[in-house]
Amino acid sequence: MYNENIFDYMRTEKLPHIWCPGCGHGIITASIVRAISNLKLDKNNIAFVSGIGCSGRTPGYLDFNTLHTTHGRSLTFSTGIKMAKPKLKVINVLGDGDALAIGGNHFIHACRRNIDITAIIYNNSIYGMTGGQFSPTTPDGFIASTTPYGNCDPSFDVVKLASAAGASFVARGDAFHVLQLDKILQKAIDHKGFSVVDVLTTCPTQLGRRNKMKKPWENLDYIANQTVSIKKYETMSENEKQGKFPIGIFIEEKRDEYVETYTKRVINKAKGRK
Amino acid sequence: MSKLELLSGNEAIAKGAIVAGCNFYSGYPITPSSEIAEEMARLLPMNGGKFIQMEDEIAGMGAAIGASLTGAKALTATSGPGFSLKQEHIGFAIMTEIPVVIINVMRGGPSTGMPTYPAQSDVMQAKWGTHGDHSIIVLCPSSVVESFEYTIKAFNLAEQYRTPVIVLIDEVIAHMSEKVEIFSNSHYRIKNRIKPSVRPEKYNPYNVAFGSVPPLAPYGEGYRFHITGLTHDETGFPSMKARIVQDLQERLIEKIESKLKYFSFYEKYMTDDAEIIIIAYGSVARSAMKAVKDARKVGIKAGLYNPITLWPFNNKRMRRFAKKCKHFLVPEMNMGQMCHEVRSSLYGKNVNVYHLNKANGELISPSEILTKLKGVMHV
Amino acid sequence: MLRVEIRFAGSGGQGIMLASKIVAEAAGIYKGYNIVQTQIYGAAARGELSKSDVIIDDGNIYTVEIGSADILLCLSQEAYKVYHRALKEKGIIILDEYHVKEYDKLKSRYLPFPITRTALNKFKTGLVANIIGVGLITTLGGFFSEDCARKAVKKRVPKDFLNMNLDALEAGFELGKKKNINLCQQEF
Repeated sequence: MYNENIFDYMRTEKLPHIWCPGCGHGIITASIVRAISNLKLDKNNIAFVSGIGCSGRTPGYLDFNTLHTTHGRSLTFSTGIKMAKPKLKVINVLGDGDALAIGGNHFIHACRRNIDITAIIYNNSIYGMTGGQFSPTTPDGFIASTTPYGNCDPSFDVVKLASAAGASFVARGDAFHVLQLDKILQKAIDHKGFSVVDVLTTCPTQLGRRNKMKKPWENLDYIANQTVSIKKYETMSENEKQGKFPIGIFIEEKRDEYVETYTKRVINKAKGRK
Repeated sequence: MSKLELLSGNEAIAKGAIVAGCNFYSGYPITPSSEIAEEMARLLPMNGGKFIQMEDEIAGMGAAIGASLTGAKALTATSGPGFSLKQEHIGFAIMTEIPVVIINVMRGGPSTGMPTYPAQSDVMQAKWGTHGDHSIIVLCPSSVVESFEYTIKAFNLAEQYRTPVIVLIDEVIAHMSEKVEIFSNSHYRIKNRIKPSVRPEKYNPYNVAFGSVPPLAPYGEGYRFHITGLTHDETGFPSMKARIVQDLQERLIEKIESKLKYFSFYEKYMTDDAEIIIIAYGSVARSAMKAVKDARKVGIKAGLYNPITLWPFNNKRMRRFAKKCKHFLVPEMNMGQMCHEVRSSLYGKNVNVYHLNKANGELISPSEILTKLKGVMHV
Repeated sequence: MLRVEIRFAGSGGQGIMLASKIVAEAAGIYKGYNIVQTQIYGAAARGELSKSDVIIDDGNIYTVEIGSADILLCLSQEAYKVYHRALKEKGIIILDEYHVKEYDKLKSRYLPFPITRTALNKFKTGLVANIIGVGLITTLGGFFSEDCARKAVKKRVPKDFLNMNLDALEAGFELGKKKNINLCQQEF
């Protein structure tokens, strides 16, 4: 797992990062960098985009063409970047509130187009930066700063949402099973088309503190216990499946990519007509 | 060589954009601006560009900014309610200094208002729609020919000043057809953003060492840098230091306002000896022109000032008018948005500023302006 | 000095807007006058009534709306009802007598023509009534030549329907020539 090259891809002078001690975001970020390093991608040809929130700070630490956009709408910027300059590898990190609440519309439409962008969701089930309000992935009954009596909002399953919306690569990983996460992210970034990776991660400060997992490892243990491999998940009874999240790659399909399709079907036709 | 074409305002805007070098359009359908999107969908792919219809107005604005960051010249078009939605990203483009052109075909409001009727309801929204302090360039054409010309200018200004530029257009101009003489591309002066002259490792996206508009490198050409909507220092990374933030705020305003003389476009007619100057823009400027001609026939010394560059509003020019002229009339298809600005520009001057407002979907006719002129000048 | 204000009125689907654009093209692009062409747009246009105006002027055109018309081309009864009063003192109404049955027959400036009837007889479709109307405006108005009108039709009409529309235009010229009117020279 240790990869001495990762610092080549980072703006080390920007460290230490702003994330709290025990936060899982650093684990995911390092995993993304290892995946990029393993793929030997050219730094100049990577556009690394984020929205607002704790995950939004990721691009600042990475030595690419980096863009920290608005809350929930980073995928729209990425779409413009990919359309206008297809040679760029576009990687977009989002938070759970970012991708699924305020940016839900942009997220499903990016999936639908199957545009060649990798969307990595740092899913810690909470709005961390704004002070621990519940998000669309906060588990039932959990305490958040806006659910003082326990969360009664049903939550989104990112994998099901992205699959239904048309993403051609859909996977789930987590901040505990890091070796697997490295592999998933590498495949996701290498995939041509819209790839979604839901990464379950921790927020001991805002989620853990209010839900008896104040210690970082307690929160990480919770993630570890929540996750099972897709194979194992399929053998489990409905009862056993409650509260569990299968991890692995759910969809990996070769499908027409949006910009290529636009070029083939629209540009070529229009030039013929000129 | 030139070619005469019969075009609607919306078609002329699309043609102007192509001439200006626009190679990216992202937007969302909305009446009465949709023909711009339709024309761009047809024209861009045959002219080396790309068109994308996004999932909403905010996305249309976001994709345009993303495309511009890669070096593209990006356009989006909308109308009142969509313009409200776009404001979040207009603010982002102002803060991050990314060139982009926004066309707003104005319709009646608030809310859904009157989608197919003309209005000039977004004069103030264009200036102050997004949160935070800033300056912005807003142009307002009065004819189809001007729609074509000022779209080209809007792209040039966006590139030159690294800023979003807004073109406000009346619904009636957008949908009516007039003759436009279109020359070959070499006839038009097209400006492109300044690219950095330093090596990538020396590049800072907000380096103002050589002027208040820093060079902008496109993504993917070896210059790796950071862009954020947070307040930032010259390196592009977030900074909340009071001095740096104050400098940034002041520069965002200064880089535009201090250069106003280079792009303060206007039309003046018989203002030199005028006893009353009509300040009118968009379609109302046309009616006002006729009203001035008619007024002169009945002995009213009227003049017309059409501030085509609506924002920044040229206060100096107004105060020069006020040296000789003591009466001003501001007819507009809203409840007095520009009149408010005219009054504040003439603050402390011993002048009368009259207003003529209509916000019911009807145009302001020359005779209505003439009647008002006669009333206030006691003729 | 020349200033003409032409109004095209009928019901949705009769090609009112196309007719007005062809006249604007003929007068503006091929004859060289200044023109402004407007229409009722959007929700208003989806109803029964369709209206479009063309202003032709040899000087600058400041106004974009017309109050009363010099020529009103009227292709439906409803259009007649709404617009026939907005006519200038020396203006004319070109009526499609197939659709407009009730009109003031005492007014010498209300000119009935078998527009749709001609279209049905010659072309087996009423769809080219608008182009016959353009032919009538060309002849009765005299503001631009028949050739300008032909060029404008060629520019605006889709290729698949061009020949039929050009023939319809000629039919319009013929209908118009039966009346000895030329508004441009004010000879009647």
